[in-house]
Order: sequence, then structure tokens, then C-alpha cells
Amino acid sequence: MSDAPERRIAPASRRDAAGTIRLTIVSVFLLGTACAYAACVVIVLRGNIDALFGLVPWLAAAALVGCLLVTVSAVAGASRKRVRRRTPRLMSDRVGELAAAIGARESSERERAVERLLKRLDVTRAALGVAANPAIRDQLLDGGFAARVERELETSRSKWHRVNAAGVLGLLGAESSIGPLEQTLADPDVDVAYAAAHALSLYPSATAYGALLDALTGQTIPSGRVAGLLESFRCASARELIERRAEADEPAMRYWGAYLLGSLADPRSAPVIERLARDPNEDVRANAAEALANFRGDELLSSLLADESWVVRSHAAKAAGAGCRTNLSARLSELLEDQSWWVRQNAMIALASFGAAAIPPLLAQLHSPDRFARNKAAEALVRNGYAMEQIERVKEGGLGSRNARRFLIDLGRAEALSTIETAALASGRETRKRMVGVLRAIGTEQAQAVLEALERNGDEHSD
Amino acid sequence: MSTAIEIIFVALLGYFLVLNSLYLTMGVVALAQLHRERGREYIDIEQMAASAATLPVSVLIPAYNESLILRHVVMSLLESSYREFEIIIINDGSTDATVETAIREFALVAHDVFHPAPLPTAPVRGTYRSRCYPNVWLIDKDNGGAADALNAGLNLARYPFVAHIDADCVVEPDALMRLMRPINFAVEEVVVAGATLRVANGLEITDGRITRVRLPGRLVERFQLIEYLSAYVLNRLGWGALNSIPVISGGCGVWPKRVLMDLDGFSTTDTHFDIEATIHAHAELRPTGINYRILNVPDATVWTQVPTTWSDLKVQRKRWQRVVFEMLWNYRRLIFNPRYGYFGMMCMPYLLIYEGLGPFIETFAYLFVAVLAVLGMLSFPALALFLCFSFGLTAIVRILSLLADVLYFKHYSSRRLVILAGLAFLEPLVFHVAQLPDRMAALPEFLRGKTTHETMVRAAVASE
Repeated sequence: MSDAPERRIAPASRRDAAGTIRLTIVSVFLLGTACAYAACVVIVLRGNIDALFGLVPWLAAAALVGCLLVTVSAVAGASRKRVRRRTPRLMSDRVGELAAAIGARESSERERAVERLLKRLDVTRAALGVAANPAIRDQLLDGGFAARVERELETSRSKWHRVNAAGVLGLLGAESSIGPLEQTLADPDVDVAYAAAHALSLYPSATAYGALLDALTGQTIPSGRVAGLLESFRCASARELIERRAEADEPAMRYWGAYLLGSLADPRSAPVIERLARDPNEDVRANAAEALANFRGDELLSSLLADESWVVRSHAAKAAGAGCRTNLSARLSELLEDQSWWVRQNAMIALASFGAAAIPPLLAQLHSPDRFARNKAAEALVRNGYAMEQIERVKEGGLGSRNARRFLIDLGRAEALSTIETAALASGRETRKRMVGVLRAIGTEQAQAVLEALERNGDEHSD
Repeated sequence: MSTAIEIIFVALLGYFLVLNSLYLTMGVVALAQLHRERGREYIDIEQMAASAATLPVSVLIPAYNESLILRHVVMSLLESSYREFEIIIINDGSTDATVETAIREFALVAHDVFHPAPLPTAPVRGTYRSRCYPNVWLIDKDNGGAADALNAGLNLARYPFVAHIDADCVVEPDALMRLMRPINFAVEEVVVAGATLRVANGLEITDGRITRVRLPGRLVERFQLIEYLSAYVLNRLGWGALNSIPVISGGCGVWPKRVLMDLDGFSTTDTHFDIEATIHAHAELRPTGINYRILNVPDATVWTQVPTTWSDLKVQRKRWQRVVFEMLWNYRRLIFNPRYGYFGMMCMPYLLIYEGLGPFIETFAYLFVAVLAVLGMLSFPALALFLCFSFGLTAIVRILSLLADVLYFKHYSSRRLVILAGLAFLEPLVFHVAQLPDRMAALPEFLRGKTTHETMVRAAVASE
């Protein structure tokens, strides 16, 4: 058996009788230690040190027995083999037996079974796989189990019981539970509220989807997490529901509307995305811009690349790259001179992903008066492999090597010297000579430093 | 016993009583927190991994002469289920083949990258990017220390959260996701999260994946294993409950990038950047009233290599103790300062009395009791009481940490736990006491202003 760690937090299903005994031992042990401490402190404060000495044998014996018990229980608990063998049988038997009892005709017996199951709600939570079994689930639903769990969700004083109740309701999937779960989304406790959101995401229903959409602007659960649940939620009317919310007055709802419509990528949402791309709120426009990667509309994306907000321009550049809008290359290459570094960066990444289509504007940018624009153009040309192609041409010599050499000089003047240096280091003597020639022609201080480093390196090699 | 001796004896008993009470309380709080964390298992890690709304993170790995082990940490991160992250390895002027190894292992190619560099660092020689893994970068720079390397990484990092991981660590596949979970669910404005470090010595690793958890072979490593369990599984969680964790270990932690930028990056003038950054963050954030939380994530497990010899351990512990003195001196204004809440009123005094002065008090206590016993001035019950309070209670704390591991993590088999339980009793008596001279020797070093960081000789983390 491999001892590789299986999971970080042992599941609740492992909390069997032995676990309870272990916990009890620890609790008693800790309580005993605390009492012994308190007694010692009182005795010391009263200055009756002799009485303290009198306690020593008892304290030592108690500590020894306690430690022994705790150690033995710890060691016993570590036997994973046994836990594994016992747990599945225990859980399936118990839930199966209880589910059968719930289906019993005798109402008092049914009531007792539900009561017992509710008492073991945390255990049931661990056996959710069983609860998801349609046969048992139907029995549970017929037995009125969902209603009882709903009550547990609404009234329990234990936060974790409520969390578990939400989980069970999600798997039972009773339509009647959507209301209580929806109400729980506003619970001030993030664990309880998220458990309800998670449960709702298991319902393939428009009502649940709508409730989750409304939770995007709730106070308790971070919106990103609700959006995460909605992304994986498949609902036939999702598009309509999101589009309706995207008309909301709250910018946050429009913001997430744009995000979710982008992830759905349904062409029918194009008009809504276009409207959101003209939203007065820059964050909404930014998300709409990013969503445009999945929609047609180069003109709109082009206008967003010229937006007054750098956040929008940055997202639009990202979308242009993700959507492979090569016809926006010229516009993107202009953005290499943008005021914001993030816009330049995203424009560079987009241009680098366009391959040959972006090379002419990038070559033009190598001569920009803006040093950083030259840098970014050079970076894109290295990323898309064009620089390596030119190095190969210079290595081969012959036709075209002259233009390639000129390009490398421009590249070097745009401070992209590592690429040339690496080529010089990795190649044969002839290529090295050619690269040294390129570096000399670059003529900048940095190129001179690289030359010196190369010479030193050459000396080391000759040594 | 004369009255004076009696008073000293009772004071020393009180010292150990309070210290161990604190540890036991921390233990109880930690167990409660572990129980709560188990309740959070309903949060679907896979769903988080799949969502584009999950916050992206830049992972920084400073590396100085790590050619033997660098591969493990990067491969273990590449195995991660996290959706969007980048790995930035920073070679801090290594004198071994760290760069060459990284270039070979990850198919790195020189890549001219231009970015703002608001944090000053030692000169960067070059930047490399992987052809096989588009999210792997390497910065090659002159030597400037781990903090300087991290600052160079911070300059390049493009995501709003930054994780730092030591090159000698192995990260479990879901550790990054679990570490980022509280940040993704944060209701606070600022959340800093630290991982739970465990001892990697003895692990078997293949391609960054842990294939077998074994106990390390040497006694010194096993003692450290017990110590790490107690420190990370119990103590950090206890301090975390008071939002007073004094250190997010350099081994692995996640910070919001803007907080680090506000702190002017990691401090390059102190011996250890991790404790400095954490205390600095407390010192800056607490008085502003910002709703912030610095916490330890118990189920985000990162395995780290510990010293394998007593001599390496001595060097490490002396350095750690010197760092405590540095922090106490640099942040003396926080000690017993109610403006800093629990951190000022509990954690900093704890650092002063039990971590700073602790080695001196304990050494005095053991010598004092030994002399009294030899002179026949101490009755047997008094000696037994002292041993119970000093060693016995610490052993109980260690046993509790083992128990926490059994209840919530189940990393070790029962046979290995028997060995560890035995060592848990010996640890306070042998391992802890053996460190006292080295810890005391750190004071002259601190007074001389020494801030160097000796490097530990690395062995490959595990056989493949």
C-alpha cells in the first residue's frame, strides 16, 4: 500500500465510533490538564508550595496515563486500512436502512427514521453519493425528508448542520427546496450562504439559475465565486436570464452579465454585448470588450481599443488576441505606444499570437521614437519566432541574409540583445563571427557589453 | 529551600506553566479550527479550478545553487490543478549549474522582456521563457539574497497575487488551490495566506509527484518532523485565530501584490525576509483599521527539506534566533502596544519572553535546578514537578500535534506513529535542550550586526 497522502482533510465519513472515542479521550485529557493547571496556579498563588509537591505523584500518573491513552488512540486511528474497509459498508448500510425505514408504511416508524437521519445529518452529508442514488433519493423525498432538512437549514443553531443540510438539499433536488436555499443565499455566514449557492447550482432549473444570478450582487458570497458556479451551471434559459439582468441599474450586475455572456458565447447575445460595450461604466465596458473575443464585430472592438479608459483598452487588446483578430494588427501595434504599460503588454501578447499577419506593423514599430514601444515590438517579434527565423537566415548566409542582418540590428537597438547573444553562444565559429558583426553594427553601450561578455566567454572556451 | 530560592523556583515553574498553557490553548484552538476546515470540504476545489473567475497567481521561486532539486518544485507546481498561474524562477547568482539545469529541464530560451521595475534589485542578466510550458519564466540575476530575488520576481509578476515558494519544496497538486481558497472567498480587504510546511526528507518523488511518504532516516530529521508538526499544525493555527501569526514562512505563502509593493517589496537588509514582511504587514495594516487577515491554511501542504546534520541544524537555528532578535529590535514599538491589538499585546511579548529571552531563561532554569538537585536542596517531588512542567507538558503538546495529524491528515501509518510518539517525548528533553547554546550564541552575532544567510548544503530531496 502506498503511503502517498490521499487527501488533506479526512472526510466526515471517517468519523465513526472510534473517532468519537478518540475525540472524547482528547477532550477529557485536555479538560483534565486544564483543571490540573488551574489547581497548580491557585496553589502557587497561595504560596502553598508543599501542597503542590504533594500533588506531584497524582499529576505525573494522570499525565502518563493521559499521554498513553492519547498516543494509543492516535496510533489506532492511523490504521487507514481498517477505516477504509469499515466506512463504505457502514455508510451505505445506515443510509440504505434509514431510507427503507422512511419508506415504511407505519408513520411513527417513518418519523423515527427521519429523526435518526436528521441527527446524523453530518454523516449523511458524507454519504451524499448514496443520497444522489435515484432510488434512495425518491424514498427520501417520499418520506418527507426534504421538508425536514429544509427546516434544519432554516432553524439549526449549528452552522455546519446548516451547511450539510444545504448540501443534502442540493443532491435531493426537490423543487420545493429552491425557496429556502434562495433565502439562505443572503445568510450572513459565508459558509452557509456558499453551501446554498453550491446546492442551487446542482438544480437544472431556471429558478435556481435566476437566484444565483441575483446573488451576484449579494453581500455575503464573493461575486467571483458565484460567477464560478454559474459558469459550470447548464440551464436552457441561461442566456435570456443573463440578458435580462444585464439591463439592471447596478453596474455590478451588468459587469457580471457581460462576463457570463462572454463565457456562454451565444451569437444571439451579440446585440446585448454591443450595448454593454458602450456602457458608461468602464468595468462593464472592459468585460464586454473581453467577451467580444467570442463574438463578431471588429469595428466595435477597434473602437474599444481607442477607449478613454486604459482598463477597457487593455481588455480589448486581450480580446483581440484571444479572438485572433489579425485585421486589428495595425491598431494594436499603435497601442505599443499606449500610456499604460498593461495596454502595451496585452497588445504585445496579442500581436505575438498573430504570427506572420502582425509582422509588418511590428517591424515598423521597431523604429518608433518611443523606446518602450520598440522594446515591446521586439519582444513580440521574438515571441512569434520571427527573430529566430532571421537568425537562421543570417547563419545560412546567402540571399536574404542581408535583410535579416538589418532586422537583427534593429532588434538589438530595441534592446533585445539576449536573443542575439544566445544565438552567438550556441552556434559555430562562422555564425558567431556574423553575430559579433551584428552586435558591432548595433553600436549601443549594451551591445558593447554583450560583445565584451562574448569575448570573455570565447577566452574561457579557448582556455 | 530558602525563601529566595523558593521564589526563583516558583517563578521558573510559572514561566514553564504559562508557556505550556499558551501552547496547549493554541493546540485546542487549532484542533477546533481543523474541525471547522473539515466542514469546508463541501467547497468544490475542482469547480474552483475550472472557473475563469478564480483569481490568478504568480508563483516566485528564488533559487541559489539549487540545481539538484529545482526540478521537483517546478514539476510539482506544473502538476497543480490551478487554472491560471505563472511560475517565475529567479536564479540569484548561483555558482552551480542552476541556470543550465533549468534551461535544459524546462526548455528555456532567452527572452527579451521589458517591464517596469519599481523595486530596485541586483542587476538582471537575462530573462528566459519555456518553450514547453508557456507559464514558466526564469530570471537570471546577480546575487543579492532571497529577498532581492523575490523583488526581481515581483517586478516581472503580472498577476495580482504573488506566491513565494522555496526551491527545496515539493508542492502537492491541490496545495495552490487550497492556499488560494481563503483569498478567493475573502470578505476582508487583504488576505495573506501561508501553507503548512512538512518535512520532505524521506519522501519518494517522481516528476514532482509524491509517490511515498516515509519517515526520514536520521534522528535529527525526525525531531524536526515533530517540531514542524507542532509549529504548523498547531501553533500557526492558534495564532491565526487571533490574527497574530508572526511569520508567513518563506517556504510558501501568498500575498496580494499591492500589499508587497506598499511595503516596498521584501526587505533585503534583514536576515530573513519572511518574518520581516509579516511583522511589517501587521505594523502597517493594523493601525490603519484595514480589514485584513494573515492566516495559515492547514490543508495546503508543502513539503520542505530540513537540515540533515546536527551541524547544519546549529547554523540554521542560530540564524533563526538572530532573526528573532532583529525583529524584536526593529519592531520594539509594537511590544505591549495596544494599538496593535492581539499582535502587540500577545504575540510580540511572546516573541520577546519565550523566543528572545527563552534560551537564556531556560538554560538558567535547567542549571539552577540541576545545581539544587546535586546539592540536595531540592526534594524529589519538587524535581518531578519541574520536569513535568518543563518537559512533560511540552511532550503533551507534541503528542497533540501528532494526534491532530492522525485525525485530520493521516499522513503516517501506525507503525511510524509509534516511532514519532516516542520521539515526541524525547524531543523537549534532547532536541530542544541541545539547541539552547546555539540560540544563545546568536545574541553576540546580532549585536555585531551580522545579517548574512548561510546556505544549507542540499541533498536531492528524494530518490527517483
